[in-house]
Amino acid sequence: MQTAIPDATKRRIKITVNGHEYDREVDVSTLLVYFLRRDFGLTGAHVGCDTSSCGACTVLIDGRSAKACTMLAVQAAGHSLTTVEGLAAEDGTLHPLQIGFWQAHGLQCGFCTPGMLMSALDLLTEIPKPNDAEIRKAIAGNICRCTGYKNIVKAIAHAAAAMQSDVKQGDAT
Amino acid sequence: MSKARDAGPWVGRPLPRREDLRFITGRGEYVDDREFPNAIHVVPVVSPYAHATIVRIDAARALQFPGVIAVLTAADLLPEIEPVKAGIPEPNCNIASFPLARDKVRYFGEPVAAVLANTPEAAEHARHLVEIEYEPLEPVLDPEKAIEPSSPIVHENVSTNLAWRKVFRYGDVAGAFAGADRIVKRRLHLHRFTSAPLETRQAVVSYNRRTGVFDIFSNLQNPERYRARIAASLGISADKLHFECPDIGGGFGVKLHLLWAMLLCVVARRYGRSAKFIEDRTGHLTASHHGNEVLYDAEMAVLADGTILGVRTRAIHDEGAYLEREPKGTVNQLRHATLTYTFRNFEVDFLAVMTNKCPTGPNRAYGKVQQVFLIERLIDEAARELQLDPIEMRKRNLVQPDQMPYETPTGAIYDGGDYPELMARICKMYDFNEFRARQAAALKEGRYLGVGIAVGLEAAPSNNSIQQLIDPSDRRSSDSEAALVRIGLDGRIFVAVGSVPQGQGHETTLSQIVADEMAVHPDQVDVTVGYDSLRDPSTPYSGTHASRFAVMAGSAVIGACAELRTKMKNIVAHLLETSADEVVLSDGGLTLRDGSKAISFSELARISNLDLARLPDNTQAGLEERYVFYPSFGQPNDSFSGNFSMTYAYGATVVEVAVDVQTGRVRPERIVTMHDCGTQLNPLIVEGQIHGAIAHQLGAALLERIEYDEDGRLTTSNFKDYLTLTAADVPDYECDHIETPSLVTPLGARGGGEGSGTPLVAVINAVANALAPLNVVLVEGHVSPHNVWTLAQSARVPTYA
Repeated sequence: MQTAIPDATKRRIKITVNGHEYDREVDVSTLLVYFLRRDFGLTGAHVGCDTSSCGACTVLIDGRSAKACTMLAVQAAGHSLTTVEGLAAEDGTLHPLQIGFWQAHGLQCGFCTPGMLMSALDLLTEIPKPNDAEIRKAIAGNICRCTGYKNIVKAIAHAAAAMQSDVKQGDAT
Repeated sequence: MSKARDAGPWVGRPLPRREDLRFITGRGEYVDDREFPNAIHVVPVVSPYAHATIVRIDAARALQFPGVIAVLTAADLLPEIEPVKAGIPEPNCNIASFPLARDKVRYFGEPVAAVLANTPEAAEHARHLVEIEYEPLEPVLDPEKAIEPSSPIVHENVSTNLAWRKVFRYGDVAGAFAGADRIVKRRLHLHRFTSAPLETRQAVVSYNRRTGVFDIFSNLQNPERYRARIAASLGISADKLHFECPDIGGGFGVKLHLLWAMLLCVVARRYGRSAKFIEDRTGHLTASHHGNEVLYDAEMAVLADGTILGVRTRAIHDEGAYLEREPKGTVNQLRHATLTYTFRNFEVDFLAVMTNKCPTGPNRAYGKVQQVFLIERLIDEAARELQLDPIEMRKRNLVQPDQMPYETPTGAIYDGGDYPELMARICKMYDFNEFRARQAAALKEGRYLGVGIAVGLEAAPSNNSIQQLIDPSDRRSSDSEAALVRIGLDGRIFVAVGSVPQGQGHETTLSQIVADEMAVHPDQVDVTVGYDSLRDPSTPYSGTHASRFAVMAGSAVIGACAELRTKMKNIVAHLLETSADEVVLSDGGLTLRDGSKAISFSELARISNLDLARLPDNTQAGLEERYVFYPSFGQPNDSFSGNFSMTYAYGATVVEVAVDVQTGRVRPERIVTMHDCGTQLNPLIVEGQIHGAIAHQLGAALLERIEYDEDGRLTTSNFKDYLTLTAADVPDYECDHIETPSLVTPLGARGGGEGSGTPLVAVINAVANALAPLNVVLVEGHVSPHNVWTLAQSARVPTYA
């Protein structure tokens, strides 16, 4: 019996994306961001630079933010990814961060927004009530060329407050 | 919900944007998000030299790489693409631009060849396999040396690096300087920087062999302005070009990649496949275009009491290697040369100089930040020499409200506004007296605090006749924009315009305008998303640049709505056998003045489209109007005076800084801004524009500088070296506004996207103020730690051992 010689440039990986498990073959040289964009059609993560500086590709890996242009798709094997497309609830209910960005005009061209949202989500997981300086520090790895950041900071603060009051209401009931 | 919230007027409300849902859920669509199966991926092979002769190009190794289709050079394109001549008079217009270098390279990073491959990865690998042999030449990097006879020449076919020079003189400049108590002389340098939108320049061109149509799917911010040029170059009818722009990730004047669009058209036609170009960040920073770099030798004539009599300057624009769009940035400075002030004498000697650097071109506040930098730096320096308060000196020279509309010596006609009120209000927001006390106390402790103000204008939209200042034979004038408004059978209102949004919220703003014009809720208004030339009306001036949207597209939509209302009233009057004067629009329908006999939009649309026998005579079927708005601009006169903009928004920015003279670090402590862009269509969006303009200019002042080394190699080719502003670099901005409606626009709106050109200069004036005790002269418009530290060293500030 003849056994197939495995293709060294490909690898089969198991990966969870936005709550769903997948079993995919992936080229070992493919960056995670291109894997998400091309294989899953999740084009919310953008590429804005060549040096992992801009943060437009930020996604969550097991709940922590990471720049998806900085790692290979195979390195995400066995992990759970959340992209901006997975931020709202399945029924379309928006996350408080999404509402915050919308209400506070925290975006203009929208190109940096998915990465900003994911970095902000990481922040609010770590620090539920961040102050202005903590917010600014947390998104310092995400470049925005349109907003001047003021309304992004405001949006994240709004979301934090909304999530806090949700928690309190949750406690009360 | 209360009725008041559901009724108009809608213009003026801070409505959250209807665009945003798709962006916050990751469903925006940018060029690279659309799949083009079987596309050819095109990447450039670029020059490692600033100036060199191309000896030999050998693509053999690259062509052997799996997936590579071809490697193109200029010779392959020349039969199909016409070089783009510069917009200056003969003979120097022969400084022509071309997608790939011809015979020699003229700047570091210039595309020399294009690799075509089946995947982006193959193209990227193969571009390193193209072997190009160069014969290096001495680079031309200093624009002052470039115009000396001994300098090497960038473009031999015109035998000079001085591409264009012209003196513009307004008023009695010699008299002003003869009568001055004091003449303040300064050398000033505004460096190169770039707005660097987060999405780079991108395009996919497909060619349909059956129809002969090119589909140009791109993030060009002004595609219609290129239609005639691309068509002529390709030797095809202009109607064979179909432009589509999806969501665009920021523009700021940089998304004008005509040459790439032309190259992709050739590839698509030759291979019968889509041709795709996704610029990488390095390519964007090295070879898109940079903002105008200007070196001034300037003088201001003043009286002892601070009255400004006149300004004269030499202004050398370091244009870089090609004139794809320049020297337009020079004369753009003349839109409002005297800013908010009453002095009547101004002279500038513009020199457009070729160097071996990336070409320059439009960049947010194009020509405006350059002029504000000149005048507002000189005022602060003059105030220092005269020992006057810079605020008081400005107040003494402001145009007064009773002088409005005010005609400046260059022919600009300011469309209203209250400049003294602007100063009063910003002085209320920022307490200068309190600061001076703090500043004095800090200095005793060896800490250097400073505050700076700048007052400026932003002209919009452009009167294209300004081009005649450069080339009198270029007979263009005014500006135009098209709008189409249609009521569908379902009664919904469809709105399309020729502007190309890049994040400015056009869908939301237009829905507000139309809601008011047609007496409906904005939710009943559908505004097209992105730009599509098969769907949206346009003119050859269409696009989004120079803060023109609110004035141009806004006015065009108002014109279309007015014509549509007239038509609807005429039809209803005919149906109800009354006069059109008796018919009014109300709440999504039409009624008689007494409120009787209502007819809904959908019913009227049904009759107008389907029940045609009921229409009055000589009435076209359907409820649709197309309108082209153009301002009634004149031409410049023989002495080069003219009104080159319709509206003049104005504003002021105050910046407080703390300067660490030991490290050179400048920390902005407070940023306060006040502006008047007339009627705000949507205050939320206007504020966003102001914030963005502040950030761009703060970045340019503090961190962002395009730098070349002594061999002409760019040393800031990525975001690790070209330091864009981050959230952690700045404090909160304090913004407020005055709202005096424009005297000349239908909505009373002015342009508002450029921060009146003031934040950068406010930072520089603040640093100059902080360093005043050291008696140093600040030439640069950039206060990086290195620049400031060097200055402090020159003043022999003791450093830590």
